[in-house]
Amino acid sequence: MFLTLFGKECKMMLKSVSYYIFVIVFVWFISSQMDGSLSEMERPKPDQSFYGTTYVQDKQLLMERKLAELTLDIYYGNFSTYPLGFFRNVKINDAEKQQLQKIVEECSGKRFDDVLYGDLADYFTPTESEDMEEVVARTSGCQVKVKESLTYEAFCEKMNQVCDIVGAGSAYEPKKMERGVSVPMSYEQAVEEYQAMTEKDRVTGAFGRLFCDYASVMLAILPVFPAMACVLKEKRNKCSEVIYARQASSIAVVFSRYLACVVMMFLPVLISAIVMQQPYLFHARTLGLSADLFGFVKYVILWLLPEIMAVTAAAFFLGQLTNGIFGIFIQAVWAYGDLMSAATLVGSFGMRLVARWNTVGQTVYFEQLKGQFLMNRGFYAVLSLLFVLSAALLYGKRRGNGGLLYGKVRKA
Amino acid sequence: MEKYAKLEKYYLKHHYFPHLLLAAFFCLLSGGFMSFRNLNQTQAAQVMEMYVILTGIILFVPVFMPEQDADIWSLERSKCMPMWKLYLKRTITAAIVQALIISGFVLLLAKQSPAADPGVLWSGSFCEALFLGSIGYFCGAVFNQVIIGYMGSILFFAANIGLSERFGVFGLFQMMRQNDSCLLWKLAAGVFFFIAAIVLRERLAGK
Repeated sequence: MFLTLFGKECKMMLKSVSYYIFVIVFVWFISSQMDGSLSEMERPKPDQSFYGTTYVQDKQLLMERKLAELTLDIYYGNFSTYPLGFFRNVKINDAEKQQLQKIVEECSGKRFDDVLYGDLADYFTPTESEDMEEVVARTSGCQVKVKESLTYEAFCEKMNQVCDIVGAGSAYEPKKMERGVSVPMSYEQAVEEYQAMTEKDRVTGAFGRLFCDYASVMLAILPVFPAMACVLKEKRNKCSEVIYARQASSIAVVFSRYLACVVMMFLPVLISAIVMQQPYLFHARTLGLSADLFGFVKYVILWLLPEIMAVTAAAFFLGQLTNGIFGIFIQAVWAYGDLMSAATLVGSFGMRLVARWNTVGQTVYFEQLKGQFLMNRGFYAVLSLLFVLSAALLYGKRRGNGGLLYGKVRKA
Repeated sequence: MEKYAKLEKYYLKHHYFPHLLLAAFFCLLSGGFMSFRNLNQTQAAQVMEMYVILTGIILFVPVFMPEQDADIWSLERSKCMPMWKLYLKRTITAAIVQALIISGFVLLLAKQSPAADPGVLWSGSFCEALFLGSIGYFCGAVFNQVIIGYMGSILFFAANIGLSERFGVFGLFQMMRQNDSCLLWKLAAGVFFFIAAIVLRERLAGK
């Protein structure tokens, strides 16, 4: 019974316009983002001017960086905050500016202007480098010397005062500083990173994570539409009563439909991954590197499948709950908020729906975060099952009440 | 005229009201996501283009929603009143609500951020909201599925985050780049989509 229903639902998906739009948009987006850059497969050379960046836990450096960031934010008068998970630009007034300048002066033991035009003089010097990553690393690497007597705890207290002025969700919240600071890599670190990429990731794994990063952005919203169309097709085709009268249980109807949606949406993602892995696989073999044949596939299963499951399940649940299209907005807000609130594009998985890893490699750092990443994806896999189970219960209730969720006849 | 008013009242009460509520809720939430005070022109444009124009999707896309039900569509077609007049009235209603929402936000910005130019903000936001909404309006009309309409508008908005320049004069977020030369293009495209959607819908109904 279940397999028959599943097969029928798969066939129905193949007749859905929204499914074809899903496939076209996904393939277009992912192929436009994966530009096939292969330079990361080359071993670092000793005379390179820049090798990328890495994170270190150095409290002194962290304080100096944060103080520089705060000084520049005060100078420009803008603070980026994420109070409800969404980006919110806070523009400070003169009174707030003076309060913040005082905090900088207390932390540095110097006048604000001396900090701005003394410690940060390099920031205002034009650069000749054309390497954007290098320019960003240099400007974000500005430091302001803190007073010798200032402890990290006292500094956090000052940062809490900053948060009181600019509002919640700013980069000055002490818990956001726990990640450490980004510093330029040395040649030795770059070689270690390269070896980790070729040995642990076996080349394609490193590119697989980048593929998943781009794909996860799109998959935060895209599956909502075919899933919602699938949920609401009964209402649209006015065949609810016919299906309600069938022998199949509500669990079998909803789960077969859900599974069909997930499988049909995962297939083009998996095929795209296999196809897009080929140039990396070929190039790695040309360079004599041992490449993983399943580098993309294993990440796609671990990274993207739970996301498709969660987004589809949420659409099923909201579709059953509202019996309308309003779930689309809730999910659009969820996806938009999740994306806009990303403090970093590499790591910091937490409980985020869109797991970002917008870089090739950083294998050592990924290995450190692997536990957090697996916990995150596991959470979404379990959440999706809870959502779809709730959707099945709601469907069963509606079915038992002759199409009315709350058993109440409403005025048409 | 009385007949039109009655139909419009019925549509607003039984079909459009949840969408109006959603738009109102969306506007009320803005304080949690956006700051309105002490903004310059670019920052005020960011508030309008990254948030407020999304109301265009909520207001314009569901215009053809009642006719998703084939029975309602057939019944309406059997009446002597031409369908295009009905669609046009609904679209004008949506445009009026859209104008009111944008005016509300522009007034708020004018009060809290004197550096922002209200005229530029109003015209830019209205044209973009209308254009964004018209994409979903057109898709929804052609496929007779509001979900595809939402898909069209939401994906176009998402594609503009990062790829706005690729859409040329039809790209969103131009006010944030202090470029107001493309407004008429977007307004014209929006009107074209509205007309094309109604014409195509009439043809579909005829088949």
